[in-house]
Amino acid sequence: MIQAQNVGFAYETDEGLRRVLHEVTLSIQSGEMIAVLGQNGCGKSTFARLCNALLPMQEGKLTVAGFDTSDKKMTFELRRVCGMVFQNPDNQFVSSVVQEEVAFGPENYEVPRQDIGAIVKAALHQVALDGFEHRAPYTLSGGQKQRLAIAGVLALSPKVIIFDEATAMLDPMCRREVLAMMKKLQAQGHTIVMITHYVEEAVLADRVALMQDGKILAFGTAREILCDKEKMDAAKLLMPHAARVYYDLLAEGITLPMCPLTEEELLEAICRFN
Amino acid sequence: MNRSMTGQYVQKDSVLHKMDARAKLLCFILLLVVMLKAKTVFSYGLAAVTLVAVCALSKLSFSALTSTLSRMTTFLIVIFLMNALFFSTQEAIWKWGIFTLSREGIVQGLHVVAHVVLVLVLSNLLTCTTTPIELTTALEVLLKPLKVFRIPVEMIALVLSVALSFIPTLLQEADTIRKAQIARGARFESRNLIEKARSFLPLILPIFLCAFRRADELSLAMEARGYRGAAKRTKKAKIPLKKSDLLALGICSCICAVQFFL
Amino acid sequence: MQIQLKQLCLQYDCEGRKSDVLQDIDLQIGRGEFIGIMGRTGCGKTSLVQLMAGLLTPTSGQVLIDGEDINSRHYDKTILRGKLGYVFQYPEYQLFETTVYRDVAFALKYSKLSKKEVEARVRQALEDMGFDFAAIREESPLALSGGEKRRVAIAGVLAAQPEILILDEPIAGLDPQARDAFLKLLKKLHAQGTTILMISHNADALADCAHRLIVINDGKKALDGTVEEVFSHEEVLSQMHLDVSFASRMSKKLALPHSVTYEAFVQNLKAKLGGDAQ
Repeated sequence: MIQAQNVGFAYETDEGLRRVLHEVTLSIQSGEMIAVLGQNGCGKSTFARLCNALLPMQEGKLTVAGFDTSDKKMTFELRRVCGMVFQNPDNQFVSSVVQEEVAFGPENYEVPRQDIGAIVKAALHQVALDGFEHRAPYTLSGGQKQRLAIAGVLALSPKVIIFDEATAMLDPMCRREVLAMMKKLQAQGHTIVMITHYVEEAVLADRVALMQDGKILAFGTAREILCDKEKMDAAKLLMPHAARVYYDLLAEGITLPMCPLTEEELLEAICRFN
Repeated sequence: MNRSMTGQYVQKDSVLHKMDARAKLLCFILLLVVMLKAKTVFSYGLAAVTLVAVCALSKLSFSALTSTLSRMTTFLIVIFLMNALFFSTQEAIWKWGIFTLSREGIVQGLHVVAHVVLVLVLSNLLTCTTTPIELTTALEVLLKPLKVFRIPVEMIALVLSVALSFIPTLLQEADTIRKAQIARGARFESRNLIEKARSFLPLILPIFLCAFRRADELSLAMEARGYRGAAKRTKKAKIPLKKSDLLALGICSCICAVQFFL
Repeated sequence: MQIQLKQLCLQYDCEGRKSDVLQDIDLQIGRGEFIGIMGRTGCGKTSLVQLMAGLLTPTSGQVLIDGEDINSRHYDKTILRGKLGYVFQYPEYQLFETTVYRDVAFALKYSKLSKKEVEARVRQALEDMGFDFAAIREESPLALSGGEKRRVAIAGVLAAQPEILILDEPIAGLDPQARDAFLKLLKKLHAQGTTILMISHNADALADCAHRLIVINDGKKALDGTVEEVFSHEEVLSQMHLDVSFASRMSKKLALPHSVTYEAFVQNLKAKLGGDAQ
């Protein structure tokens, strides 16, 4: 669904070029949930913006759902199949009424007026915001706002949805709400890319691309990446709690039967140890 | 941030609330003429009766209707005095320096104040019974003829709509920044004018930066959803005016016509 | 410096109806405490600390600081500003000066300190936040990265050397490294005698550095006690959609002695498994 070949990107600054992406190569399958994990400033958001052609391609080749992102003529079509949800829920709304907010995308694609009502209704239903049609977005909770943003993207029936730190400004409860929504969308066949620096969220992904200083350090299943102390140290991130316990016990000479990824697995590992 | 502001939409179930915003805006303009045309006892009578009738139809509370007025009392007194004291005439009742008080001056002052009061209550009626989004949509329709002069009406309407959706968050942000700078010891009260202007920098600069940042992020979000200019979008649905709206327009036109003869 | 809240209530006028933001809050905060404040978004916790900082006026009740009512007409709030530092959520948005030095020194603008003393304090605050003073002082704060901006903004509060430091979600969005460094600094300030109140959703961070936890739910004080006490009410907290720390959750599931910090939990686990192995 997404193929990146030696993608590079540099911003122009007063002190010259600042390289933020360096030979990024990865391949994401259709229907996968991928986490792009890394510290702030590691280039993960730049990568997301390239996927949606919000930034122009400089080096390498990037195809999303069959569209070459460097093909300017196809940018408009590309954005329809590749939706994006941003970090700050307050800064992505164009309208002061929920239903018009969701209709914004379809209206840009000149979807006939008579079809828009049904599309809006279906999109709001998918994110469980039925009955919110006439509310003002700013009166919603953080989690509801992000679900509304998702509905705005779903109204274009995209194949890929990129979540650019979409949970970073939410409280734990709202965060779970949005993460559950991502899982649901994946089950419905969407390809999900989440850009995050929260290790606990990356646990939910099928595969994790670990980034550091504009490079992909490693790309593999969540377990392969998140339970690998060396790689996580190199990316200056902490492993999930459960995996940290494993390594801390190991240092004391206690070897659990497996390196756990989640709290449930840690319980299981301790049970099996006994 | 939920504190209510004067002249803001108040949800009620009334004929005025249900009325089509386009018709309402046109009626508003007609009635505005009625208010401003008032000169004689009869014409004031007509204007007042019309206004009271519309107020009754709106089902709004007395305080909601007059909230703007009570805030403007000082302003009203000032415009009355300005007119009353600076009206140049020979028959002065009282004279002191540049001030002359005359019968004509007082009458002129009362006229202006009466007009302002009538217009304020009428505008309040419009904004209290119409949501901002309805107003901008109606404005877009009514401004459409301007397209002949190459004025980008759709874009103006979209800008208005985006601005409206930003106001609550920006207000909140401004409040936070103000508190944050006060907590850092900023003082906004100074006698020296330059000093005073300078003291607002810590407030204004971050608010501007915040607005720019928001605008920047929003433009990205709009582009990501396929926005490429206001003209290339699905056209707004054409909803015909209801009979009741046409009736209201008719009544308002009649009142307006009568006012010209009084 | 002591803070005392008596029967504190706060109401907003919302379209003619009164809505309660905070109801009957009684609280006593002693000198040198490190308090964590938890609650869902919109529960009133930010209003609570803004009342303490004199940035909001209560509908009824009193805020006493060192026994003085800060909302009384005779109280000089500039005294409060000097004693109490407040780090807002996303403090990086308040930066406005042309250089980092000037922005950090802004808090000292009205103090009667000499130029030398001001410079010493700015240097101290910036170094505490992990900056190289000479390298950063003439930089434009607006050109820094997000994490650096936040550190500069916090330095701008620390420069006033407040006796009480209030922080609203200071670690939200920080990298693990930056977060650990920041929590370490808070612990150091606390050890030097600063009273700290920190609002956070991060139960692990609170368990790591706070000694007392106050939980606000629906405008009321729901729980108040040591971190151990509060986290032992896991069901109550989960009804309010709040998490306990990893250590607290796991030690309960593994029937280990209750611990809230990660380090204590690993120690307990080691003792148990090590014992079993022998």
